[in-house]
Amino acid sequence: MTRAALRALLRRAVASLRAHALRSSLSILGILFGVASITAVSSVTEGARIEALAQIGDLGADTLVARTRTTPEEEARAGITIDDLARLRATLPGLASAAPIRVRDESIPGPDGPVAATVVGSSEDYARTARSGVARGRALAALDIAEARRVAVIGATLAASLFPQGDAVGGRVEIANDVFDVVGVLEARAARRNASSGLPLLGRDLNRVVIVPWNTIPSPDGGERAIDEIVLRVARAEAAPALAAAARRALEASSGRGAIEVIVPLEVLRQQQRTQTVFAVVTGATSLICLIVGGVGILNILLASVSERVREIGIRRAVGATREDIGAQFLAEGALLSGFGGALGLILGGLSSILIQKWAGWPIGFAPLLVFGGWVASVAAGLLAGGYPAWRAAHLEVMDALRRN
Amino acid sequence: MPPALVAVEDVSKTYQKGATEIRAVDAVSLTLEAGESLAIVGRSGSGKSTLLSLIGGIDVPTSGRVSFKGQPIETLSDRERSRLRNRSIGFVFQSFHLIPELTVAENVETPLLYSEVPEREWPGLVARALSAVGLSHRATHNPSELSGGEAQRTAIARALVRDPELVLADEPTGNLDSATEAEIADLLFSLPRAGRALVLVTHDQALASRAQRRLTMRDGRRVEEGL
Repeated sequence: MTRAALRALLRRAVASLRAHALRSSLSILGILFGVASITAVSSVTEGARIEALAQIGDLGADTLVARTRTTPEEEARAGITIDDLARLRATLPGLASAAPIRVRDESIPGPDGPVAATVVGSSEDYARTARSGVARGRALAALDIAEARRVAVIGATLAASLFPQGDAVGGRVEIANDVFDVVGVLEARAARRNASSGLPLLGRDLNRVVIVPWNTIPSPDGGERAIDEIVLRVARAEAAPALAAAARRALEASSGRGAIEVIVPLEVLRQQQRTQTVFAVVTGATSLICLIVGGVGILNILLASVSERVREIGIRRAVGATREDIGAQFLAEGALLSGFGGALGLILGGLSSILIQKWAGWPIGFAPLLVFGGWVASVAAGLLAGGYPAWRAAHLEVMDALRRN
Repeated sequence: MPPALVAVEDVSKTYQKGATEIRAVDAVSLTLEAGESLAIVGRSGSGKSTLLSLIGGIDVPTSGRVSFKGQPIETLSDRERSRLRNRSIGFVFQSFHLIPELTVAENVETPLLYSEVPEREWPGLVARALSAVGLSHRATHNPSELSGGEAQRTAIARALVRDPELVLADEPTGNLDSATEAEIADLLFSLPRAGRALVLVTHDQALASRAQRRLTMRDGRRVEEGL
């Protein structure tokens, strides 16, 4: 077939499909929803993947988080204390740094009303352990903790919200009726890493945190020396799992068996990826069913089209069209239907992803290979569905076709 | 001596209808040269249209041989027969057989889609074919907007657009009024004068009498040929 004939064939295919616009539209719904779901799911899973990688990047594969395990029945069990931190430092070889964490969600008064923030009580080791660089001012110092000074290092977004007119450093913030001097502003996480939303592991947005000396914020139920977490950074990432086990044993010696959980970010990521894989397989299977249903819809419309156009097929064969030309005509219609349905599915899936991000707050990402693969799968479904009608059309006897009313 | 344009040698065509074998064409032979016109006449069911389809290569004989310029058609593959029809044979049908969704020009263009003619030449060829049948002003119209005569002239233009050596017309005036019938007959019988061979199947004795040769068929057999 010449290129001109191919163009004419596509023109004819478009005209034929437009002549039955409603029927054609209905037949592509299956493909449309199949590709839309592939696109939406892939963007959500890709977003989650990027997010998880960003979290690992923020904390580092060489970081561990130890915290008291709470269960619904036993929320107030004895947890870790600042003394545990000292014990870990003394007993764990290969520990690069460690920082205590007390954490509270607070509402901080700002010029335009209260601003939600996460107050993280820590030590001078926090910056190094959690890799939170300071953009302006300074980080917490040892003396701040020793003297329980009311000083704060705040996240970039929070600084912009609380101090829209000027530099936050030198300003003051009110936390739970206590006033803190702002001595530093953290680097904006998104600005530092394009792909990251700035969320570290455990769901903390470092752009919206206030870091203060751990001993300046009210103690948790465990007492004056109780803390919520210990963040540990090991010298070598590959030693993280072994060190996690050692830290768990050491902490359980003081807090009781089963009272402590030590989170290894890399393992969290792997678990997350396993969950995502299951999610992707289930959604992939659903999308495949949609594509099959869509393919059957297209098969139907093309079979009807062959029946309606028997005489036209006869005419084309009489004036010189080969069986291949006629088959190509119906394959082109199948591919056009599914390609168009797939393209609409991409748009719908993209819009759905944006809505999911907006309403559910889930991160989304763009996986070009998956999206393109979804579209290619839709075209392939159309070509497969067009195969049988194309074969039937191509194998009509010319005389029979010309005589058919 | 060059081979005849069309040579039909002892050709039969049988169809199986259930347990019954129907012999639509039975041992027919004929030859046709360039510039000749032949009318095939006979009652309905006498095998005229089947013989025409065998000559045109849209069907193959059960036995015997149909040759086009010495090339036996039944030895050609389906693709080669399609190419032969496209390049050398034009068809005109009783009920015009235009594609309703296409314009007049697009209908005339249809054979070119399957040809090796460069696309840039298509508009000129279509315009020439439409001009030859006096339908240049109807190029952008749809078949539903045409009269019967105009529709048949469009079909003739489509048959001529590839400048074929042989034109086959099956009851070309069967659906037309008498005035239009004469106009179409004039158009068809001008073809042999331009060196093309014309075979037409008709019930119409007056139309048949305008052909140089006449072949009468009955029950699939050739019963008479006259001038």
